[in-house]
Amino acid sequence: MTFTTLIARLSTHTVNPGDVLTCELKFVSWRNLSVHRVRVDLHAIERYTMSSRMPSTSISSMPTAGGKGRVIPSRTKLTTKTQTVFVRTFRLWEDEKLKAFEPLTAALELKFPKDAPYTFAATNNQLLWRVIIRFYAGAMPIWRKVIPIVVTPADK
Amino acid sequence: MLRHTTHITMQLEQSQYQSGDTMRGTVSLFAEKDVRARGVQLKLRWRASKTSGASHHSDEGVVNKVVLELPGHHLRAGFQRILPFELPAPNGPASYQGSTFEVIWTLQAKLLTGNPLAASAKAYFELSPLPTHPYWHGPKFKRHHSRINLVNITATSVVTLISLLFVLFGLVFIELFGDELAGFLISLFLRFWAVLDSTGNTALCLPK
Repeated sequence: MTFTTLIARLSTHTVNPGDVLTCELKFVSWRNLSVHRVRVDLHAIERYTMSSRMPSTSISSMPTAGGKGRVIPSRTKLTTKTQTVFVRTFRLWEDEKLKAFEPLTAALELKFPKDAPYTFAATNNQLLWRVIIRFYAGAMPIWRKVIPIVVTPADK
Repeated sequence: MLRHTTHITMQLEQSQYQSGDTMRGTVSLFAEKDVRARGVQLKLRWRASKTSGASHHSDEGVVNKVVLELPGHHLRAGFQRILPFELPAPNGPASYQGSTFEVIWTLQAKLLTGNPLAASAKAYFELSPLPTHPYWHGPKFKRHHSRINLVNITATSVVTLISLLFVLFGLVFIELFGDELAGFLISLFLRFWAVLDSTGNTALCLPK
């Protein structure tokens, strides 16, 4: 059983292209722990929906009451795919031995590119910015948190 | 193939605009024969669609519709009519050329004759936002975060902690008030579900 507390504090959730976002992390474990790594990604993705037509199929081997095969009509299958358009990775606390109740703190400066595309959200097409924090430690499972960020040209 | 006897062309003064700019241009109409038309409808439309590949779902929206009235609601054969217009440039989304989709802006002009297949024209332009202007991020945009601090305690910890607290609280409660609690529950049971007979013995009966 592991008790851990991770506090992630962002200076803001709305940024302009070229801005620097400060991400403060504070991690406390309630027992001695071996931290493998903490990885913070500044990430932009394009998410889009695609449709593929599934052809109608005839299952002639299946006997039915009428003696004819059953036909499954064609239908449209929707799939959502993502494409990474920007990623910047930061690694922290690699192979740290952490004592119980001894906090680990760090502050990261996440710089957005000057030509960063603005956040866009429609039904089938989206451009999303986010900060992803991944935590790797001892016998713990990977802890992952996604924090959405809005990139806007307007004043915050 | 459908051949229009009315010709419509549209010209924008610029091909790039910023939010809040005034878009100026003209719509030219020429009819080979007399046409009755209310005017020309202008539609400011954005469209997010694929840049490559097939079966990509697109999104689109109309942000502004304007009707340029045609004087007399009539277009005479052989005469050209030019209708100037002014529109405010939209607040977003900005034109975008991505790896999987693009956002493009068009201004569409359509003759209002009552016929859905009436002559139309289209002009493309690029929209770049102005930093001092409020920006529109798209129809599904939601501002998720009102708070900036994010505290995360691992889920197993919380569940275990709450379970332990419940057990501990229960044990302490039973230890302290176990006898009183049992007596109280029995008296409550007797009050509502039992009556005393004349001999003072307890006899259970159903409530009337």
